[in-house]
Order: sequence, then C-alpha cells, then structure tokens
Amino acid sequence: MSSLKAVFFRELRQMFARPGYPFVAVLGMAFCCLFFLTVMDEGLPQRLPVGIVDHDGSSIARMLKREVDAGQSVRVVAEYASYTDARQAMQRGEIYAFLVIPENLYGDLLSYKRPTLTLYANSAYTLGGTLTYRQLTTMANLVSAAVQREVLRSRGYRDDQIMALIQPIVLDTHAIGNPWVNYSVYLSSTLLPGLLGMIVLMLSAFSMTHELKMRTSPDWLQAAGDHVPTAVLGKMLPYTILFTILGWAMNVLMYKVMHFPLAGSFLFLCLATAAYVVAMQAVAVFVVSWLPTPGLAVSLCALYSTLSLTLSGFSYPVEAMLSPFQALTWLVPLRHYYLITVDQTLLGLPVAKSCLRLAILLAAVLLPLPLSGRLKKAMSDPEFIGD
Amino acid sequence: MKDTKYPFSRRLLYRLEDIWYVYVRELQRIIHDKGVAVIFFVAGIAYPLLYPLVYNRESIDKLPIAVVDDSDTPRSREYIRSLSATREVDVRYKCMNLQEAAALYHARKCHGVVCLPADFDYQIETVGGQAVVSVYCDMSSFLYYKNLLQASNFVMLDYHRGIQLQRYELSGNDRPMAEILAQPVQYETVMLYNPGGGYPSFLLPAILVLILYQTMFFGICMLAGVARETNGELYYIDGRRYERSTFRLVFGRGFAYFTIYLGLSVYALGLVPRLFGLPHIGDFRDIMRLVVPFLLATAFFSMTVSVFIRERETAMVLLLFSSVVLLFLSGCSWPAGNLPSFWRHFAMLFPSTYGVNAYIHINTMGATLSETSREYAALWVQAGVYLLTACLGYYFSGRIYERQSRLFR
Repeated sequence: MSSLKAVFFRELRQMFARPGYPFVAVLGMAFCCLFFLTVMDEGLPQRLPVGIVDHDGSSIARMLKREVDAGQSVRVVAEYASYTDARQAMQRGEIYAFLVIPENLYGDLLSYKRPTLTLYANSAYTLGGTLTYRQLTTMANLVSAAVQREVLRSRGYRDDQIMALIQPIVLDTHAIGNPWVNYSVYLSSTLLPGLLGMIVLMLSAFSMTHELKMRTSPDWLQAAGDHVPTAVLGKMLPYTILFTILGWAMNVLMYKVMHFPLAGSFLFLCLATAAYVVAMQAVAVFVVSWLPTPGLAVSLCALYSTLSLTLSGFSYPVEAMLSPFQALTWLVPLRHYYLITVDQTLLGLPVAKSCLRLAILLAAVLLPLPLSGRLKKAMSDPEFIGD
Repeated sequence: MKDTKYPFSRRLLYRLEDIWYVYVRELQRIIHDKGVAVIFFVAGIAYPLLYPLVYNRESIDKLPIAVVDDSDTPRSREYIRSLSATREVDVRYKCMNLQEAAALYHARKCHGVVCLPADFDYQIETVGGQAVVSVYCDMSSFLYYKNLLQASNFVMLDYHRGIQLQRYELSGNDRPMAEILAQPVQYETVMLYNPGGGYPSFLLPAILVLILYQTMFFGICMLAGVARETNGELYYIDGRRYERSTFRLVFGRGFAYFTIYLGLSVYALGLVPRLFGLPHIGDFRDIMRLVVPFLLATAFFSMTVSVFIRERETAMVLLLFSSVVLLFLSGCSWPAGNLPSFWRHFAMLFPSTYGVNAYIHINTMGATLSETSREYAALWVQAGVYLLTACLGYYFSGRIYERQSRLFR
C-alpha cells in the first residue's frame, strides 16, 4: 500500500513537472465538448440549398417553387436555365438537389396528360442528399394530392372523404428515445466518450513510454517495491481520477445541461464512464507491455483508438462489417460503452441488463496481466527494445 | 554570408545542392525512424485498405423488425408481406402485443416495430377512412432508422396507389381516369453519384483524404519532435550549425514529404477506390492535379505547427482527436452550409476541408478541375500562406534556439 502511494505521488509530481500534457489534454477534451455540442446546433439540418430548373414558367410552376421554398428542410437558392447548369452547380457543391419542372406542366395537368417532375439528389453527401430528396419527394406527392383535392372538391366530396382518398394509410412514426431525430444527440453521446477514451489511451501510454524513453523506469519500478502491478496501478491512478472526473463533467454537460434524452439511470451511466476510462487505460498498458518501444507503442495506440471509433458500430452497424471485424468489436471498450449508453439513455432499461457490459469493461483490467513479466524486463532494463 | 563572393549562378547551384542534401537526409530519417515509418507507411498503406474492409457493405439489408398485427386480416397480412419483401427490412417476428415486441426490441433482436391497428381493414375496406400504422424506430444508429423509415414509406405509397385506384373505380371512373386521378402529376427520382445511397461510398472518399492528411501531419510533427529532442537539427543543415538556412530546410524537407505522399496518393486516391468498387468517375489526371496543392499545403501547414512540438509524441498524444473534428469540419457528414458560421470559418484554416471536398467533387461526382476551382484555388492559397508561415516559424524559433544554446554555453 505504501509503495502504491509512493508511485501515485511520484506520478503526480511528474504530471506537475510536465504540466503541458495533462493540461492540454483537458483543454482538448473541453474543445471537443464545445465543438460537438455547438456544431450541430440545429439538431437536424434546416434550409438546405436546392435548385429549380423551370422549363414551364406558368403560375402553377411558380407556386410549386414557392411551396418547395416554404418547406422547413430546404430552401431554393437558385433557378437554372438547364439541367447542365444545375448539375454543375451540384458538382460545385452549391446545391444538394434540384427539381426539373417539365415544359407545359400547366397545360398537361389541365388536359389530364400526367406531366412528370424529375428530382435529382446528390447522394455523395448522404445527410444533405437524403434530407433534400425526402423533402422534394414529399413535395411531389403533395402536388398530386393538391390536384386531387381540387378535382374531388369540384365533384362535391367532403373534406374528410377527400383526406381518406388522398391518404388512406397514415404512418405514425415514433423515433424511440430521440423524438426530434436530433443528430447531435445521436452522434455526440457516443463520439464524445470516444474522444475521451482516445485521449485517456494516448496520455496513459505516453506516461509509461516516457519513463522508458527517459531511462527513469528502474526508478519507477523501485518506487513500487519491484512489483509491476503496483507500479502500473500507481501510475495510472492519477489519470483514472482526472479523466473519470472529466467524463462525469461531460455527462453532466450532455444529460443535465443540454438535456439529452436520458431514460435510465444517470448514476449507472457515470459508473460505466469510470469503467470505460479504466478499460482504455488497460488497453494502453497492454500495448506498452507488448511493445515497450516508445515510438512504436504510441503510434500503435493511435492507430487502435482511431479504428475503435469505427468499430464501436454507432455510425455503421456492426452487422454490416466483415465477420473478422465483427469479432474484433468485442475488444473495443467503446463498443460496450456505446451499448450501455443506448440501454440507459434511449431505452431506459433496468441497470441489471447493462451489468454484463460493465463487467466486460472491468474485465479489460486482466488483459495486460499475462504480459507483466515482459513489462518488468523492459522497465528494469532501459536498453531493452521489444522485438 | 560567406558565399557572396561567388557569382550568382554558382550560389544558386550551391543552394540547390543544399536542398538536395536536406531532401535526401530527410528521407533517410523517415525510413530509419520506426515510429515515423509506422505512421507514414504502415498507416498510410494499411489504413486505406482497412477502412473499406470494415465498411464492407454499402447498406444494411434485411434489418430485422417485429410486427404486431392487431387486425389480422388478409389485407393486413399482405401489408406485412410487402414490408418483408423490401430490401431494407425483414419481418422476423410476429408478436401478439406491443409488450412482446418491446421485449425483443430491448434484447436487440429486432431494430424496429411496426404496429397495424385493429381497424386496419375496416377503415380501408368498409368505411373508406384512414388507417393509422404505427412505426417504432431504433434510434441507436441512424442507418436503422433510415432503413425502417424508407421501407415503411415505400410500402405506404404503394398501398396508397392501389387503394386510390380501387376507390376511384368504385366511384364510377374508368381505369385510365382512375390512374390519372390517383396520380395527376408523376415524378421520377434520380440519386446521382451514389445511386444506392451507400454509406461506404459516401464516407470512404473523405476518409481516404483524411488518412493522407493526418498521417502526414503526425509524421511531420514526430520528425520535428525527434529533431528537437536530439539536438537543434531542426534548424540546421547537418554539420553547418551556424548558418541560416531556413528556405533550404523548408523546401528540402517539404519536398521529401511531398514525394512520399505523391506515391501514397496515387495508391490511396487512385488505386483503392478502383480496388474496392467505390465511386471513381473522375478523371485521374484531375485528381493528381488536385493532389499537388493539397500535399504542399498539408506539408507546409504541418511544418508550421511542428515548430511548436517539443517531443516526438507530443502531437499524437495531444492532437489525435483532431481527426474526428476535421472530418466534421469538412462538411461531408453534417452539411457544411449548416455549420455555425464560426466553425465554417475555422474550417477554412485546414487544407483537409478543401482537399476532402475537392476530391469528392472530382472522384465521386465526376467534376472537372475547373468545376471545383474554388477548392483548388483555396488549396494553392493555403500552400502559399503556409509556406510563408513555415519559413517564419523555422526562422524565429531557430533564433530562439540559438539564443538559448548560446546561453547554455
């Protein structure tokens, strides 16, 4: 116990001797929170730019234009003389979609010739493309509906009969846990923990490799009474405390200040955040034990933590990945943390259901244990280069 | 300086020789440093392969969903079959009630629930009213949400047509008239550039550019950190400790990074999309023309930042999170025009913003270089500005270093 304390305070002294690193790391996390919690302030993109190619020019075509512009998710930024002009504007990234109104739209409509509107959407930018596409198709359906309504009214139908004819089936959509379909809620609630984990991992790995690089590792081992787990534990503990507090601050910011949906237990979520921080540190210890070469270990941690954002499967579902990668996701703490977040924030499950995932996170601590002999060799002999 | 006694052409030759020396020396440093080599070559070569492998399928097909059919009539069963026949979803569970479906949903056995009301058939068939179908979407991933929404919309619209035709015919219209009434205005939709709306086809081009950008950035910062740690090598040509040589160093090193990344760009931006069947309708020569200012801007930008790097790991430990931030700033995920104006201007600082968009414009959307001239010009401007800042940074921090080392002596 006393040696653990010795290592703990030794690390604290080192942190204050190199105050740049922890300070900038905290600053970096604060920047990430500021960035992701302000960058998507609209929730879902509003007023996306679209264009119109009007070959008709009749009053009904102009009405159509105004209707498109009145929609919440799009705005008409320009009218183009031809398809080519509109296509080029799309390639320049000025619009996400455009609507081509055919020649003689009005005449064809009056003479029951069923004119055809054509919509083009840019799916190279998924969110912008999908949202504008959806809005324009809705508009096109509404045009038909409006014409139907006029015809039916002239034939003496009542309005409720008309609605039933126009829309015999109504979809009542429930976006569970995120009724506003808020993109920020969806992304930030996993991305921010992901970035927190990234910073923890890098800083933890660095604090260990720095000892190897500076040849101070024998001193570190000695302070721990020649016991590797004590040495590692004492060294990691200051970072565990720092980043757990930071993680909790992040949770408070998201779920209490910004009022992200939280159907379940906030306390359990905070517990999971702490376990997640510990798991990321365990990965750092594992990598450093395995490859006790300063430059290599840090580079490898960087590659791992970047990839783990993807493998967590929050943006691209795990079931769509190749099967070897599906198996790999078990080794990604963010994956488990993400599933706990979903349980607790969106679904509001009882905490018992999330305990298994929490246990997996905590079990990560066992990961570097088999390599402790290797780490000891590297620590006591600074000339040791992992092969 | 001491070589002013030589004629100009001779001096120029010496300068070029120096640049060549710095260039070769920098390439040697890159190859011999394990950490840097991992970043430049292992990450630079493996990551462009790894991401397309992870983002393996364009879309998730047959998302498992549960259905609660309170109506249980031939019509409702047919509706469920139509839903199950879409590419997007698969009705895997038929539940007696919503509680049962919720249990499956909570156990993550299904990613959505569709509930048909008891009066489904009655409303449509008997009274000619409206039937309300409830759709419960899993919001844990937006791809789940998108799939279920698309499938339900598609089936709903399809049913609208059928029911409308039937009702118009019943009220005394002939078939052609009924068709006209059901849809007086037709529409066609064309999804350009990524017809399947696939996730990898949209995200991977941006990721490929960012891999080049970030590996180069971290590699350069690492090299600068190593140079700082060992000696003042960052500011001098070897063996000429007391000579100012800012331009030669910046050019020599800049071109060393440029050379390596020219090769990696051909691989990551040219070969990889073809290898994995990602969109690649652009002219390859245009892509290479774009790559030149992009790499120069990135190299000089990184060299500017690297002036502040004290140790080899500094940048990677402290700035790794920037990869995600830069991806967002590029506007490939959240539309660029909808970024708050502060962040939109902040994004203009980084070559990646223009690099990503210009590459998507050319590679994915088949634009010519002139059609993406805004981004192309911006990259050249950045290359110029960052060349200047890199030189200034080298010059001033070199002076500070000199003063300090003189102090030590």
